[in-house]
Amino acid sequence: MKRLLIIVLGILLPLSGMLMAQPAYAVKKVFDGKVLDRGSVVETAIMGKQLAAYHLSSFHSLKYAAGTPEAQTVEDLVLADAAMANEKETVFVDGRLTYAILAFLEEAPFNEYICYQSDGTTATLVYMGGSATLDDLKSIFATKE
Amino acid sequence: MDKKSKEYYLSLAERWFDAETSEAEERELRLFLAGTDDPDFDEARAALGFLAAEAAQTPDAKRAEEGVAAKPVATLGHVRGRTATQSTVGAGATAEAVWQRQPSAANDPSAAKPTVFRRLVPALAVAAGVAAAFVLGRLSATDVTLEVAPQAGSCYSYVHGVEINDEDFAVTSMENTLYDLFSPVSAPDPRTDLTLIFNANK
Repeated sequence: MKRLLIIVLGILLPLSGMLMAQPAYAVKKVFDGKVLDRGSVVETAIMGKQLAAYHLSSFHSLKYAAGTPEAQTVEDLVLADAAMANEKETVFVDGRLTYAILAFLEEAPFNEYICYQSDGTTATLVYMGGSATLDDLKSIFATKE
Repeated sequence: MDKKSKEYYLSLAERWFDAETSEAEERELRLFLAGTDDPDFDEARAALGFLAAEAAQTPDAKRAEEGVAAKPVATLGHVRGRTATQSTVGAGATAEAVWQRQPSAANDPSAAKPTVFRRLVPALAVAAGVAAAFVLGRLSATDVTLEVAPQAGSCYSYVHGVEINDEDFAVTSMENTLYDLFSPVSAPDPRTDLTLIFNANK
């Protein structure tokens, strides 16, 4: 019986590893430069001590023109990720996504967030990760200094 | 059951697992297992029970259930001492699995003796499983967290393709972006949503 158990464990362990594997975010291809033309975006990337005050360890944002086919693609990718988010706040206007905060909390205390905002002219896509909770971020950035 | 006979049957079971028993010894083991509840023989009992159930599901057994004349049933071999092969019987006949018995030590002295490698197979399987789970776990974690995030230690901005290596500029840009996202003006307000809904219905 012990041998059978060992063999079964030998089969199940890799399977459990595959089951635990999580897919990469759909918006990853946007940050990889596969959707938007880099020459038309404003990109900011920070990973380090500069973010410590905000309880974040990584920040990556893209600002780009809304209303283009590429912007629509980004919106679709954000909606695809929204389906997997643990917590989300979304706003739609006339059937278009205008605001999204997606929280992925499975790796707590390392939380990840994908944020999206569009005013019809300019759109912003943000990825950030760190120990900060959504409430932390809201309280820190609720008022502009 | 005296101690000597239990040891004998344990040895017999061990040899059966290693495909070293003759058919007579296998029958003897089956008879013994049918009359004992000793947990030390659970493994052998489970394996032999599995084979008996499997034998009932072979194509010949199914045909017999359906009233079709069954061909001679191939002798079932040991768990470790058998292979399944595909054979085609005549033109147009369907291929069927036939269990073939590998030569046992009793029948063929040249039959394979258990080697160190064979005994290590379960341990190797576990080690491979742990390694695979670790690698897959690491790969999945990398996909989720690091590939979207910038490189460690990086702090830069690109404005329409022009790199700006100014830490203050990047941090200020980050702060402004987050203020825009989380300030009450930007964040969704339920009252705004309701206004939109009722205005749309007018």
